[in-house]
Amino acid sequence: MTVDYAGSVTSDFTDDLSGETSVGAQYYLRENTITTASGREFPVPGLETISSAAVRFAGEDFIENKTLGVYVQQRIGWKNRVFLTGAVRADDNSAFGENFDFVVYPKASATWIVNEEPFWNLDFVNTLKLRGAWGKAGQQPDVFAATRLYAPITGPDGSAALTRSNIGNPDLEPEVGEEIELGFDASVWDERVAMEFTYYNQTRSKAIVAQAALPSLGFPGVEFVNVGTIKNQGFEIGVGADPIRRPDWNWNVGATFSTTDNKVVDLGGLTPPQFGAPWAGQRHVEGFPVGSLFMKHVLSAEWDASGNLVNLMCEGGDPISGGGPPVPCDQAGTAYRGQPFPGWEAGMNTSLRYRKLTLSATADAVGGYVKCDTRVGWTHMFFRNTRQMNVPPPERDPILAAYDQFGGGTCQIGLVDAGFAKLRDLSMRFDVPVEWSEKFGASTASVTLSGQNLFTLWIAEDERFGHPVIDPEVHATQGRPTYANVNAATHGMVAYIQDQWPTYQRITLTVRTSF
Amino acid sequence: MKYGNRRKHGSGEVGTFTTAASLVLMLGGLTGCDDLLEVELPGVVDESALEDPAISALLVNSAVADFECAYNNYTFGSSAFSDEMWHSSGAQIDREWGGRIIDANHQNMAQAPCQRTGFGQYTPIQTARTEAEDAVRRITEFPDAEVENKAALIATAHAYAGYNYVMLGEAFCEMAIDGGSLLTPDQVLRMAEEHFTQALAAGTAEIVNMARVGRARVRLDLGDGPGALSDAQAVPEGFMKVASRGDDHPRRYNKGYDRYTRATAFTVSPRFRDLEWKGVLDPRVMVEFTSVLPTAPPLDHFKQTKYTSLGSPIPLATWEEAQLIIAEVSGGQTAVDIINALHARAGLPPFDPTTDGDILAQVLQERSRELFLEGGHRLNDHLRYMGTPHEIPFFTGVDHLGRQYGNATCWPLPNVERHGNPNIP
Repeated sequence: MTVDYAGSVTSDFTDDLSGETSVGAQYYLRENTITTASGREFPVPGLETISSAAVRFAGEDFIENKTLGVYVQQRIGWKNRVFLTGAVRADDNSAFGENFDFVVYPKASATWIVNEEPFWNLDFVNTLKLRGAWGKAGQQPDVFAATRLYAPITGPDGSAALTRSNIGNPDLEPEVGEEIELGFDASVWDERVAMEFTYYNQTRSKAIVAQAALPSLGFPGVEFVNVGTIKNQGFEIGVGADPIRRPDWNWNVGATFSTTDNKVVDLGGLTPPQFGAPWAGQRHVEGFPVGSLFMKHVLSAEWDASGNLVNLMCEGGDPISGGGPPVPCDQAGTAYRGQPFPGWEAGMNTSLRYRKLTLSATADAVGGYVKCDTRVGWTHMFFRNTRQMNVPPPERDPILAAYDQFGGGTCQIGLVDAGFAKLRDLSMRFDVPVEWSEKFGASTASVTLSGQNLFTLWIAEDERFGHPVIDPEVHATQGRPTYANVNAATHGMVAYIQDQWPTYQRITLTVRTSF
Repeated sequence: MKYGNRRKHGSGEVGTFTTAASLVLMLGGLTGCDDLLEVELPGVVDESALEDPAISALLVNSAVADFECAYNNYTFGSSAFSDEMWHSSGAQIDREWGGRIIDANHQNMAQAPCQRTGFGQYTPIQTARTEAEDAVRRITEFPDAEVENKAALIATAHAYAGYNYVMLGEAFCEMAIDGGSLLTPDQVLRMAEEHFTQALAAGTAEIVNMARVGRARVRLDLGDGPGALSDAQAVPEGFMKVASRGDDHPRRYNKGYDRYTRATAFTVSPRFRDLEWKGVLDPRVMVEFTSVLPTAPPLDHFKQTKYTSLGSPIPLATWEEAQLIIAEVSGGQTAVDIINALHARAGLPPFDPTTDGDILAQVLQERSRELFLEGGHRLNDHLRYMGTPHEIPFFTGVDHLGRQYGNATCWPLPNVERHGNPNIP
């Protein structure tokens, strides 16, 4: 439920100076209720209701979170070409720690429409707008991350009991993000070509990091603490053009490209915490992107004449991040193997119209990241039914054999460069002539045939030790709650892929009318 | 219950907040309404719920529940780790437990809670220990008049706290308690002994005997033969205290049945197959061949038959264990008599030290059979006799699936404790 109230007052102080004052408040109430029921041991085939099972299980989860925020904003415009905005926002949230109150976020921005200036004399430039902004924003903790909690369990002989479920942190505060953004928007040649560019530099301080609760204190799972500083910077550029713009013909093309450079700057002395499935090796480590993958990295291995694996050399250096010269694998720790989210993203789109017929296509690509594809890893290592796992030495890849020997190799074996490019959408639209649509009483009508995800244009790594990577786009839609470390800092960054569905190909026929 | 973090203390930011809030007075004072941020927790309770004397029995029951869960993991994790079982699945965690590839960074050993795959040890035991000790503390502080059977409840919590310390003291190389400094196994076992002593003072007959067996076990570990003997001798014949298991929730499944038998993740090792005594199969370690597993290379699955369902209880403290403690401490004819009494119960021919060899070796052999897959005894015997003439060797070298065994013996203090504990340098 969202309750949003906003009001604003505009005033012209002088002919050149105008202002707008806004105040507002938002109240968010989020409730998730999950009820499950299952049964097993049905007396005879054909019984399908849960109540007909001999052993029944039921579960219910209820999670509630509330946020109350208020803000005040003042915008000042000068000659309708320079705008300055300042604002302050205050938020309070039910998940903040007992010892922490509300949080205040200021922001300021400026926009200058340069082409409106009297001195501007480049006629082919239709628009040039420079913009800059600075601001702070918060990220609230997970619901109840601050609270010490006990959960009901089944006790001895089916009796009722409680167990410790969450240690809580009464000092937990929201993360605070501070961001500077600079950029411009421009269009030229009768707005046939448009361009926008944005550079951003964000620092998240008091980053909420899930560290393992100290076991000897008796609580399982993790404790959320404000210790980290994370930097995030990059740029986004977009270009669009209309090479053909005629009454019967129209063709436009566009492209976007963006980068993300993310780094954990400071963990406040914390041992680099792990999250996600333990064998995925994801950690927050100073100097590396958030949630990067750190695993033993076999560089070389050989078979001797007797078929024994010898000369196993792994990446040496730092016990967690590696980076040093090769050392014998039994002396090696882990090594940095990649980040779990794309380092760059790109997109292209084009549209060609001839009278009533329009053809459109979009494609996108991502790269610069890795995944632990356990459909590859488990097939080699658990099911062990791949060709590579069954051919004898020396044909068997010694690197694969080395990972297998160490154990813990599921993710090393399934570690793939996850970059890909796909034709995301291809469509053909026919706008029905008005005289036709009027025959069945419609004012307008169109027919669109489109296909989504029809072709994979590029895969950075299409096989791993001979086993195909089915679809690199598959990703964990959430963290793995069973490993307890899902929070704002890890959501969407779980690199462990096991049983998620690949992206569907779809063919869609759409008839749209208006009456 | 309802929960809210609503307590507005003064702070440097209050003024700013008030200023901002005053600008939205038209909102009718929304910012001052703390109830708006109150949320409900219908599925969990916070700590204030434990401050009620009326739930004293629940506190103890909760400590028992978490102990039983930890003990389940401990029993079958230590068996997997010892020479009782071989791992027989391709699953990485099973292989690490069965292959003794357990180091200080082993997340499953260190942090996995009860209901998870594998055999989480350190965190479940510490959780159960702190719950038992917390129950002792809370109930002791409650007014006597408001707690029924107060002394017995406290004694029960002490007994279970003692067994939690047994697990920490016998299997781990080092230990920390409540965020404190490093402790040796002997220091931890003395804490167990103290808890058992407290339990003996006011427990019910069942708890007293449980504490007697527990204290005898600890005193044997500590080399206190006379003390162990006096406790063990006081245990009545036929006594057995079990940890309950059930099929009502995965955390209550007997893992010996669930993981070893149902999931075929472990097979009984050759050292415990077809065990005989003078040509008679020993019924205390009955094993069945069930199938050939599709591992590489293929592996025979030998099923343990001690635990035959998800709800099979696990022995915790028994007269048989007490008898074998007496035999080990006393040696000589006393040990021979005990061995032969146990043989007679099992329908086995008698042991004769003049022809059958070393008495202590036989006591250890009897322990391996009588206490097969029970409470970490086999791992404890591996460790107790390591480096002695009666050493019980772990499996080493290349395992049955062609991979290398690890070199763990006792379990290391997890790094999650070592690195997070400010009292450990």
